Amino acid sequence: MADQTLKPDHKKIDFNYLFSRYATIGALILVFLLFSIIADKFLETNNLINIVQQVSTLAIVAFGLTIAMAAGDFDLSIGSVAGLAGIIGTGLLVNGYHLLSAIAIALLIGALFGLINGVISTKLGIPSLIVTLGTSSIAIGINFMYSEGRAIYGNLPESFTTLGRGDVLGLPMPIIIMFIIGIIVYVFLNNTRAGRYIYAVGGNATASKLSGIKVTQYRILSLMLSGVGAAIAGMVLAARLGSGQPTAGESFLMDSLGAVFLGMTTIKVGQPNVIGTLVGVILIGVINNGLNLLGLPFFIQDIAKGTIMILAVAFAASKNELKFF
Amino acid sequence: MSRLLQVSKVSKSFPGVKALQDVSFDLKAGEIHAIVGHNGAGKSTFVKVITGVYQPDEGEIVLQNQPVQFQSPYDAIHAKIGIVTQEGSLIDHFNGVENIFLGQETSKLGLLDHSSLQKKAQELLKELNIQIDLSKQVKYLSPAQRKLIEIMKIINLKPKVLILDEPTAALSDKERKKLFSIMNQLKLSGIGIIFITHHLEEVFLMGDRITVFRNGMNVGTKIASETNEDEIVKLMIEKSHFQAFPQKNHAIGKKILEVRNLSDGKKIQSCSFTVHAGEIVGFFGTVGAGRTELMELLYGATKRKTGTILVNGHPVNHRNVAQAIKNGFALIPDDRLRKGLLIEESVKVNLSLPSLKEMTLFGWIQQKLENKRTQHTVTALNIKTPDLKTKVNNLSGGNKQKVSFGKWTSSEQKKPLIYIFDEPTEGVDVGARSEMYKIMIQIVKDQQAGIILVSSDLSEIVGLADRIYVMKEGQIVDEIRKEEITEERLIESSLGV
Repeated sequence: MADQTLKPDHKKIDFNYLFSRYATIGALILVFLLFSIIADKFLETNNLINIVQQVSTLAIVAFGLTIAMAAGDFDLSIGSVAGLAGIIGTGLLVNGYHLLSAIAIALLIGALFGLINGVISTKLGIPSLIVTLGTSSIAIGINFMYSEGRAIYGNLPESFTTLGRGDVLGLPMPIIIMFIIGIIVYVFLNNTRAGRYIYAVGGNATASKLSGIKVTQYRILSLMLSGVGAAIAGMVLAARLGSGQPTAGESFLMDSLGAVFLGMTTIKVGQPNVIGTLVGVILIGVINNGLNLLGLPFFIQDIAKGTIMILAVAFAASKNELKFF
Repeated sequence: MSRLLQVSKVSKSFPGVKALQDVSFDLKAGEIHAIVGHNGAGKSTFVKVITGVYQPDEGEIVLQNQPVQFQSPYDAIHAKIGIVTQEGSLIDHFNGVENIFLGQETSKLGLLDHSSLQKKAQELLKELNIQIDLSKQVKYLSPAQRKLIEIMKIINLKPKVLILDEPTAALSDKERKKLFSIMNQLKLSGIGIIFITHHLEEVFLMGDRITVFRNGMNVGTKIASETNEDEIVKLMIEKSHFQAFPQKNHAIGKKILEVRNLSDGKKIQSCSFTVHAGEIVGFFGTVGAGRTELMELLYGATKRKTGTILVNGHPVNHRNVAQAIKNGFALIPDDRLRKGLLIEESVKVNLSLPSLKEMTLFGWIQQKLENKRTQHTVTALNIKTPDLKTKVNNLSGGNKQKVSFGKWTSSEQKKPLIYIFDEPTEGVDVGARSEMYKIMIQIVKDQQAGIILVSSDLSEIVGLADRIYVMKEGQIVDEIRKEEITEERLIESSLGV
């Protein structure tokens, strides 16, 4: 699954196959070229780094969501869990907690929400779509109870804000964190037994069960990892903003769902996969940035994003390669 | 009585299978014509041809002297051919009235005319002389009441031909009698009824004529009053079969599996049986007799209520599949697309799934080892695939089945002790079929393991099994030793003659 090297060498190049598999990447390149031509500052190094930095936190959430969706589960709580983790994490820091303990507690909150999502969904047999919708609302409630709807700032240690604003050799920290998480999730899904089992459960839960895989356990694990991913993103975002914002995670849910669906149209067609998700995230970032440079109003970005997502998914589905749950 | 439906020389093929061959059949108005035949005899294909689900390759269907060609079930309904299927076609959370008139609603000014539907429903109840609360969601009704609502739904369409496919399956004795009296009533009103059932006594009780299907052919139509159960059973059995079964001439070893009083508290009641090393133990029965359920229970896939399982004399109490596998069980399930395979994944991923633990180091998959082991399985079982990365979905039926079995042979550390094959040759072509037989013989010969073979294929189970248990309605009703195995005995036990 991981390496694509074992192709039979006698096979002729099948353009139809390549087209259906790499159309979304093609679309990304096309949009990229288009903006390079029509938007002045688009190709400048600073702007390109800026694009990646802007989507880095979204990418971290989407990588986590990729794991949950690989197991066949939805996680609609990621946005609010990211927001909650950011609020609690910064709250603890402001109150003098050590950086590591604040981060650990924030990530634990993500894991705990994932655990609750997973246990309720598997043990009571309720679709994760519904359970996570409920816990999402609970996370928002706790968030506002704790923050009273106000931003948390002041006294944030520099060691923390560095995570969002620092850089190594000119590369911003959020981008570095994004790549580290991406590589970890990629390796986890493609090279470990747990990752293989998660794909198996998402592919056919009954067959997995009859092969001796503890389906419940892996579904819970995948939702926990999704929650942890959201919590990491929430913390990085808070570090970048230099404050805990109660509404910080709001745009994560829709954009990361869009990215994972876009990702399912390429590389491993029909399966959520990390590289595909990254392509989806960057496509969203490029569209936002390019339209911004052209001076178009923000709502045009939303319309463009929606259109491209539907087109990409419809295209893949028409090639009969794509099956959704 | 006049000819209502006349079917002449109808044939229907599917890739690799001749499902119907030159079938002729006729139905008179005011007649109950029973169809019997074992699983796979072609009854349901025949019904699907006359109700427009399938189009025949050859032959003619004449309804009331008019040749008809149904392109869809919709056409058949419009031609007044109604069917009550085994699974049923009710919408669970609709109530009786809503279900009966689904697609036939009357409306006033664009709004549903509830009161006239209510009235019509009451008239139907009166016509059939039955009482059911039609305002309840049908999911709260008994199987018998649901069946009656299905019949009302069809009767509302004023059919000339009514097909009842296994209508008595879930009914109690009393409910069955009620259904029969309604059938008699409909018959008197001039409707022709095709009655499909596994129960021979019902056939003789209700049928005016009886047609026997075997291997996709009509092998005899008899007038009920001029025949008897013996003759019908004989017709159901194949006279000769040429399928060569591999010879096995090894001794049967010690007892490796003993099951006592296994129940799930639902369908399976107190089943006891044994398997010896080197033995192939058959499980025979009609569809719905509970064989698959028993196997999944034994395998830990469903919850056990009572019973003991002893492997090599030691009680094992597996509560889930993972533990059952540790205890030496391997299941090759019946519906391989739904239960056996990850069809969107590669051959490699499927073959290594149950034994992936052996191929991982600290959770890390050893790609080279996985490739080597699974390639070995592909070669050993002669699985025809372009390479290990090919999606299982792109393989043929026989090769899919080999993958479904092969995943139990990719382990080097632990070979299963008890293999459960559930309908291993269903939808498999002849070549792959005889390869599967060879594989099964090889297992019992080499490894001194035992096999449980669940099969509805008479010649297969007679040709391979050393001993056969027959199941009916969730219970084991007969145990037949090698020297006593005959097709007659199997059919009779499974039908409870």
